[in-house]
This record gives sequence, C-alpha cells and structure tokens, in this order.
Amino acid sequence: MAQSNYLQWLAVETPTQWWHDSAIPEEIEAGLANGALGVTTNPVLTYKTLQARPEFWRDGVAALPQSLILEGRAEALLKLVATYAAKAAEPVFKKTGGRHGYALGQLNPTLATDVSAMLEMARRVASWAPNMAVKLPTTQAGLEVMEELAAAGIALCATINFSVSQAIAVSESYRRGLKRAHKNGIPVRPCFAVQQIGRLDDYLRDCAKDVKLALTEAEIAQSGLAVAKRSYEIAEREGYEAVIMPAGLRGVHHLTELAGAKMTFSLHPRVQRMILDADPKRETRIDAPVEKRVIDRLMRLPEFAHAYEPDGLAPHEFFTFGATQKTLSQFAETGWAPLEVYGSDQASSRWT
Amino acid sequence: MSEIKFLKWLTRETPTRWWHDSAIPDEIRNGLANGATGVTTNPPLVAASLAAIPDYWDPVLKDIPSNLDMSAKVEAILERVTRQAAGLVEPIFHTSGGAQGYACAQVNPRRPGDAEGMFAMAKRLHAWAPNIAVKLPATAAGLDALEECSALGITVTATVSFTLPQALAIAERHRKGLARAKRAGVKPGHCFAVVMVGRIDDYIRDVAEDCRANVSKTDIIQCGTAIMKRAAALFRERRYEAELLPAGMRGAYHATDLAGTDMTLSIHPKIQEMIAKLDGPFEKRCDVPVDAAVIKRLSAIPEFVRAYEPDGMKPVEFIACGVVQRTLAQFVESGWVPIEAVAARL
Repeated sequence: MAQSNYLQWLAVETPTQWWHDSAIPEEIEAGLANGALGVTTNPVLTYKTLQARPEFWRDGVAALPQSLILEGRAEALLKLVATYAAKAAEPVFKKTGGRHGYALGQLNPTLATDVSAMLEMARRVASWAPNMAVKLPTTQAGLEVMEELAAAGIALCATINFSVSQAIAVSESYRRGLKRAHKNGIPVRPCFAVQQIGRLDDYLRDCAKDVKLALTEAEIAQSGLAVAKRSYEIAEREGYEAVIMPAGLRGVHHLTELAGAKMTFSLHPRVQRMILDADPKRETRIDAPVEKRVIDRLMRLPEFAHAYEPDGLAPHEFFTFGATQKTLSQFAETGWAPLEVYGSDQASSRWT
Repeated sequence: MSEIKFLKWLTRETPTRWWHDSAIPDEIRNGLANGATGVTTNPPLVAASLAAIPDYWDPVLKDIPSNLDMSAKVEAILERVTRQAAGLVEPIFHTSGGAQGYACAQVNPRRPGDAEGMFAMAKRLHAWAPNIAVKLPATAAGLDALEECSALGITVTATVSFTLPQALAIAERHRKGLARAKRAGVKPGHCFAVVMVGRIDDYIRDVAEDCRANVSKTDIIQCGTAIMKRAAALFRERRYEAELLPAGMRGAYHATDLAGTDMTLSIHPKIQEMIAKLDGPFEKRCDVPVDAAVIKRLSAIPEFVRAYEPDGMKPVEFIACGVVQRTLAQFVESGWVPIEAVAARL
C-alpha cells in the first residue's frame, strides 16, 4: 500500500481504532487488511452470512444434529460463525496483548431482562475462544451481568445503547467489576460501550415527524453524534476504563466528526466503502462540538433530551426507551428467530 | 372444524362478537363457520399466509406488473390478499347493514409518524372493497390520519394500541371526525379500537423482570385484561361511537375474561383451538373487575401505570412507548420485509 487510505490513517496516526462489522468471510479478511482490530457479530449478521455464503458454512451447519432445536440451534449457529471470526482476529489479539482482536458473541436478545439466563449464556459464549467478547444489552438487568463479567475477567461489549445515561451506567458497572477483579487478582479484560448513533437518528426522525417538530435532516443527523461526543467528554473527565464504540453509522460525518477520539468504531463494509470512496480530509474533529444552536433545537424533542442528558434516562427506563425496544425487536425478528429454525424442520413457535 | 361451543355461546347469548385473525382463506372459512363476523389481518399475518400457501397465491399474484416500483408491488399483493378476505365476509357486511363484515388492511408500518403518507395510503386501501377497515397505528400522526379518514366516512381500525390512553384518544379523534362527516353530510364510517392484550402482557412481563417488580405470573397475564375492562366501562360511560377490538390474545383466558359486553374479540386460529377445548358452562365476565390487589401490585411498575391510567400518556408519547416500537419493528421486519421479498420475485 503506497499511500494510506482514511481508515489506515485513522488507525495508524490517531488514537481512533475500528472493528469490522460483518460476518462474511471475505469481508472480514478485507476489513482486517485495512486495519480492523476486531470483528463484530450479532444474530442478524450471523443469519446474513449463512444466507449469503451457504456453501461456506454448509459442513458446519450439517454437523449440527436435527435434535438441536430453537434456542439451542440459534446458539450453535452463533458459535459456528463467532468462532470463525475469533480465529480470524486472533493474531491481533496476540499482538495487542488482549486489548483488541476480539470477536463479539451476542446473547439471545429475548433474554434482555433475565440476569441469570444472560449470565449463564455469557459464560458459555466466553468459553468459545480465548478472544471472545460477550455482547449484551444495556438494560438494568444487562448492567448487573456486565459487572459480573468484568469481575470474572471476561471481555464485554454493551450494545442496545443509544444514550449518554447508558454509556455512563456501563462505565460505572464495568468499573465496579474491575475493582472486584483487581481485588481477587483476576486479569482484567476490556469493555466496549456501544453508542448506536445511526439508529438513534432513525428513531428520532420518526418521533420528530410524529410530533410535528420541524427539525431539518441535517439536525437529526447530528443527534447520535452529539450523544457520542457528550459520552466521550464525560468518559475523559471521569477517566472511565470502558472504551466507547460508535456503531450503526449512516454517513461519513458520523466517523469524521469523531475522528481522533480514543474510541473504537464498529464499521460495516458498506460504511467502510462509503468512507474510502469519500476519501475525507485527514483531520481530528473530536474536540469540535456540535453547534449549540443545533443542540437547542434538538432539545425541543423530549426523546432527544432523554438520550442526551447525563440523567436523561433512569436505569429502569433503558429497557422501555423506544429505540431499545425497536432494536431488540429487530434483532429478535431478523436474527434470533430465523436462526432458531435455520437448517431445521422445526417450525417457529412465535406469535405474529 | 367442528363447532366451538364457547364461540357459539358468545355469538348467540351475548352482545360480544368475534373476528377471525388470519389471512389464510381456508382458516377464514372455518372462522366464519364458527360465527366470525369480520377478518383482522396485519403485515405479519399476510406474510404468513403467502409463506403457508404459496401455490394458492401464485396464480392470484402472477399478473401484478413486474415494472411497478417496490411499494406499489407490495400494495398490489396486500390488495389481492385483502380482497379475498373481504370477499368472504362481504355477505355479512350486507346483511348487517355495514355494521359488521369488515376485512382489515394495514398501512405501511415503516411510516408511523407520517400523517399525510398514511392518510394517502388509507384512501387507496379503502377503495379496494366496500367493506375494508383501514388499519392505522395509534400514534399522534396515525390519529391525525384517523380523524381525516373518519371525516370522509372511511371505516378504520386503530392498531399498535395497547393502552387505555390510546383507546380513549382513538375514540375521541373518531368522534371529531364523525362530527365533521355529519356537518359535511358524509355517511359515517365505523371505528374499531384495538387493544393488543397479549402484547402488553408480554411487554410488561419483560419490564417487570428487568426492574425486579414483585408481581406473579398470574398478575402479568391480567394487564391487558385490566386495561380492556377499564376501557369497556369508560367507552360505555362516555357513549363512544368507536367499538373496542381486543386482539393479540395469548390464551383462552383472554377471551373468557372479556366475554359478555358490547365489543368484538379478534381471535387467531391458535387461540380458537385453545378455546375449542372449553366445555362450559360459560359466563359473562367482562364486567367482573380484576382483583384490586392485582392492580395494586402491577401499579408499582411505571409502564403499567402509563398503560392503565386514563391520562397515563399523552398522544405525543405514544410513538415513544416501548411496546409501540417493539410491535412496529415486528410488523416491519416480519411483515413488510417478507412481503417485499415476495414482491421482488414478481
């Protein structure tokens, strides 16, 4: 590579890192070659790779017994794909001494409120490979599990996370778990706190239209960004150990406006391509705030205030927040539910 | 299908009616044989019908022009599936003078905040048959569209509705639309106000687990029922023109607890099977209140209070309510998207 592209510049010249966000084998390979330091997977991405590359996964799927049904089947398929991703990321894991090089293994999204079931599944997922990070939702129940995982020295990634309040809660849970790990002499592993910036924009766009609030698209498109910048500012001030992971990017600005931060992005190949095509100016922008005028206008939307204010949501409201329900439902409908019956003659038992 | 005793009792001995909740023609015929007087569908039920009997639908769909854009193709599929349901219940529509005999057709769940877009689509859906009830979500924008439809005499079913504040807002906006229709000399349409009793139970169950609320399993399965019973009493007291349509039942208990008053139960074939096992004798239970101790325990959960109290939420909050987002996402992902996949193959 004669001249570094934007993603390579970001990874080499700035503290900003990025992970690859898909489970399709060639895409993972290309992402790692462009400087990705980890691989995000989730039930939706797992189902997509099974659909996109059936021949690649055929033997692995065929090895699953037909008696393995529903949740057991979905989990086995997640494992099949996640362990492949973990193998691909393992060199990075070794090179960085366990700071990066993880594959994410996401818990069953229908368990989002069940502490003991999530904890059990998290322990199974962590055992799949030395470099698995457990991905779990930022609900009140999920936060309890996060502390336990951190205390046990298990790497984790807090997803279903749209707000400053959630980012703070994850960082505090992780910190509590870290303290316990230190006390017990357990080697600590990292925690990544996702901020789903594009999904927040999408959700707020619908809300604004519904309540007839005349916000421009340019304003809406800065809401997730404003949340991520504020979470970062607080993380820096508090010296939080958890690393912020912006995900679900919708435009180049979602990356360029945060460039230079000590964050780790999760970038889908579509977004990687969009950024490489745009070839943006190499410039660190994390310290440039979202204009106050824009924030003031967004603040007229109560759902934005819930996401933006450090105390905008109480922990019991993380689960009931509209964007949380929308996203959990999508993960369940387009990821977990089809995995439960993939390659099986068992019918789904779900309500329509 | 053999005769279902409970449904026979319900339709003959009580003011309660029931509608069949699926889009599979043979299932609809079974429902009609057991006294159903209408058909509710939604995008996942249409998708399920397309997936269950593809050979049946192929010839019905095959002349949809392949050069239509995606949204027009999806609408054409919905039209053909809905028209079949509408045709099956049309005799009831005529014999009841338009009081019953409707088939529901739902607007695009991807646009829950777009009043103009939903209103425009509602007018197109209404034109498919004389007995279409256009399904609109009970969001602020959906309610705007509902009032506009009511003002034009279009029969509507308000869905994505789980809470008492939503049921009351539906009835109020319908009343406004009716007044406008009367002033303009337009023949009024009906309005059916859905309360998805099973879905609110499912949602509150998760919420209760997350916040470790001290409620039992039997408390949880009375959430939707409690909301419905309170809605029925308020609808009667306020003499609303809108009619309640409890839907999304999860067990025979939802039907038996709500039987006996002037409303319409939407009953899926799976629930019909559960009900078929009931032997009787049956009693009218809708006016029997949910135990006060149960309500008290449930009321420790803020989401239940928002759903149960008449002023628990304002209309601008409906779209942000967790269960609304959960259900809209399901309607899109397991309904609209699979129908788009069928459309893409045309």
